[in-house]
Amino acid sequence: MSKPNAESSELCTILAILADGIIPADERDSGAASVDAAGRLLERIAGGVNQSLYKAGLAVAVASAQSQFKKPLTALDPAEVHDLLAVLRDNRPDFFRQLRMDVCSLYLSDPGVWSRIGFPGPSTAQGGYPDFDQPQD
Amino acid sequence: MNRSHQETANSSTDVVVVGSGACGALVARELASHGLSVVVLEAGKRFDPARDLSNSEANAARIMWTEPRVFAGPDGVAPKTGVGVGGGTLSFLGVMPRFQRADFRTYSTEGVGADWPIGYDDLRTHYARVERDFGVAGECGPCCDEPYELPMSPHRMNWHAQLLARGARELGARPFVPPIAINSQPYDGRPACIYCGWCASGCPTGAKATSLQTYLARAERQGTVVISEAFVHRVIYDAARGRVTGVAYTDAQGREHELPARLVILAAHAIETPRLLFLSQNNTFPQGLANSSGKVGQGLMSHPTWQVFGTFRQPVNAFKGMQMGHVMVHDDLAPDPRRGCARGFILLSYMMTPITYANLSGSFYGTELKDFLYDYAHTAAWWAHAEGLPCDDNSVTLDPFVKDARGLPVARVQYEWTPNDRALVAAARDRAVAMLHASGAQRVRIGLNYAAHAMGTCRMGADPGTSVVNSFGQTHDIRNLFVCDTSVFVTSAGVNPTLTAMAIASRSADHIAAAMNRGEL
Repeated sequence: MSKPNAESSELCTILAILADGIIPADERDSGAASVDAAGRLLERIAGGVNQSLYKAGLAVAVASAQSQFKKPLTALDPAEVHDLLAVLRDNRPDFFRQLRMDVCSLYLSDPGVWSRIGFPGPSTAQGGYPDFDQPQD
Repeated sequence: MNRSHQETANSSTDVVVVGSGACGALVARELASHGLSVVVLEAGKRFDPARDLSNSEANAARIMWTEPRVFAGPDGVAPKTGVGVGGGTLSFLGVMPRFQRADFRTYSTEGVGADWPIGYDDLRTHYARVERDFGVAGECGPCCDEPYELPMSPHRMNWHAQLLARGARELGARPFVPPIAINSQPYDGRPACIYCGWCASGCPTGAKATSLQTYLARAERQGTVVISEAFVHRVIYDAARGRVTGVAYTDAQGREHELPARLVILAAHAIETPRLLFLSQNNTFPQGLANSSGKVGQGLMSHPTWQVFGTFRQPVNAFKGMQMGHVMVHDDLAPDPRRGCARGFILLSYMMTPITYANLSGSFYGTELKDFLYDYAHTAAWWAHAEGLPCDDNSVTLDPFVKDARGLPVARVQYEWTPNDRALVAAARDRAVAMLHASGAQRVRIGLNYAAHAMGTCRMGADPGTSVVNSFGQTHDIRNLFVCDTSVFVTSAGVNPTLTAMAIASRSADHIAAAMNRGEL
């Protein structure tokens, strides 16, 4: 998982499909893809972070796609990816939890996403929130 | 630390404390103030909160225990185990209610759990001492069987808490601002909270009390040595004398050291403390040090919880404020036979920075998750938190297969909620749902359920056959080996455990100091 090659390119594609299934694109933004969740996850995995967990989980994902839908994971449509994630949640909860957590962490660390969900970001340097006890509407 | 490992080892040490969290730091400071020489060994690094822990959820990961553990059994325990000088207080959220009288007598009063060998009266002065020395703000609440005052006035409820309180009152509950170790006013040289919402990331302002800035700071001024990045892997036992003689630890460079001491105190929390006792097994104690009873590691307890979210039409902006405890409901702490289960529960406001918000939402995904994330600024949350009953089958042992980076067996945590736990926390969840509807939430979502806090793996008791330590945390088997953390709990009560663990540690420290000064230890 360390060099950019055909294998890592395929892994990146698979990760992107699963990450987009966790936080999908819609009219609000392009979801996990908006923060290149797959590429950044691949870098982390290549660096050894949760490598064995991801390796095992992705192998199960690929095999489950084949057994469940009779086609490669890369050929699944969004509804099938959704169903595949349910299989992973039930059968590989450790992998599913980590994937969901990692994708959410990457997505929710982006100031652009903060702005869209209504989080103003760190406020300590500005003195916190003096209006914390006032009506917010 | 100014002294080298060798200098520390060569100097005469009365007490070595393993762990620098709420309890370890407290006993270090108390014993140092009695003139004893104390060394604290902490596995994690020393951080400067203002420099190292400011404004990033990523910082929370730096101060959490991330070494491998094996979680077996159907229910996970997610103890907020901190790491770093200051231990769990770096990342804890500071809610510090006292236990009630009945919490120490669950068997006598309801026929469940077990009675403690101590009661509220034994801890009253220690509760007050900790509240004063650590710095606690708030109210004791309307349901305390013995009302008490706190050294700081309560925080004002943030808007989030005001919305939650409205629904609670609609249903006849009496919400209040609970005891919390976050300054509502300048106190003890630390500033008042600015409600920036980064409590779990280490608190960048110092308004939250941590061991680092309170007990350890005082202890170090009194000569206590704190060695960071020192992983203790063995308590050294002298079979001929029937005493422990110090500890062995690995430093940040992987070098091995031994630190002799007259007395050893374990304060590494309810998972690593029993792990260390198991790692210290020897010919005299083949099942683990101080484990002639076979009870080390048994009786792991936790608090079953549900996170319940309510989304409102108008903005809530719950990130403005302390993450937890701007409001609490404890009307349901008292047993209620109509529930069909024993013991009680509380509800606490719990809202958080975005990543934690997502992580506590459960396991849904796709459009449902994205909608939830986009509801962030409009969402409020109760944390439904119930008492978990003790059960010997819930345990910490050494995993036979998985090793840490040092080659040492990791802790294996076996945990399953009891039927009472499930029924009680379901009642707590349903109460939170009803209150959110009463508050006017347009949509209520049930989030993650998990077991919070870890307690009870070196239970205290009078009988050496059924407990590990006596009421002072002294192991029944070895007079100069003590446990001062939540491991000693007999039952878990329905509230956050830190204050009670500290009060018990304070009582232990008084006992140890007096006994050492009399030459009895």
